[in-house]
Amino acid sequence: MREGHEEENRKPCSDIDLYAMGLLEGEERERMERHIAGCSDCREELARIEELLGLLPLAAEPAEPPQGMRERVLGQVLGRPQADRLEEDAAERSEPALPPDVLRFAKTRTERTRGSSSRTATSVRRLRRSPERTGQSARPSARRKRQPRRGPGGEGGSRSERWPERQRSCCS
Amino acid sequence: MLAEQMRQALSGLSQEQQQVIEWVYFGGYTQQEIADRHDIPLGTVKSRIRLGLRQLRSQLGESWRGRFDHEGRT
Repeated sequence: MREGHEEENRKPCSDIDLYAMGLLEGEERERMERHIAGCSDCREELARIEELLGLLPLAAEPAEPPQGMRERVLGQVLGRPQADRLEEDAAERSEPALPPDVLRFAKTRTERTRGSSSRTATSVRRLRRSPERTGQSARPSARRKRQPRRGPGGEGGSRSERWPERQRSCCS
Repeated sequence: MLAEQMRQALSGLSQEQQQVIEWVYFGGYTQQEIADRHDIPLGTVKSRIRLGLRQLRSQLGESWRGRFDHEGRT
């Protein structure tokens, strides 16, 4: 337990796990952001949690994608002409155009969502933003709108201050 | 292998905690959606998320910290 913090349900710091996962909204989120701005312990705690969350995609189980999924995903993500070129190149090399773990993870997500193509593309875009690719913590944010999260201020370089960038839509 | 450590750490969570974290993090569902869809009290959903993350950190210890830098390299 951190010094100076009480584990009362109404205290902002007790919801820091939820905040890190983007589950606080409205007044709760704003209250947490104000608290974090003035509390170095919580900023440090938040950084630890975000680092941990960034590693969660590593736990996804390998799986083979269903037939045709690669084409559908590439078609949505890259646009048809580029997808076709990548597919042709990949076929010549006899290897998938997307990294295998991206295909596997997208396949796992597709199974869960029962073939929703929009969610499949969302999952692939999410994985493209996974720590292994971009260095940023993966965030399950694409399927619901959120207000940009303001950083706590102070010194730069905090993971929290990168929230607004991660919150941008990846659908454009 | 960090991936294997993560999988093992997740398997150390209760079934309910694993499910909630999967729905929230991988599925992108809100707490309210999970509560409504699976008929779970909202407070229970929150508790499972909190306890699940704490248990995950407990399972992993501190050995994983610093093995993943800001550029995405392990």
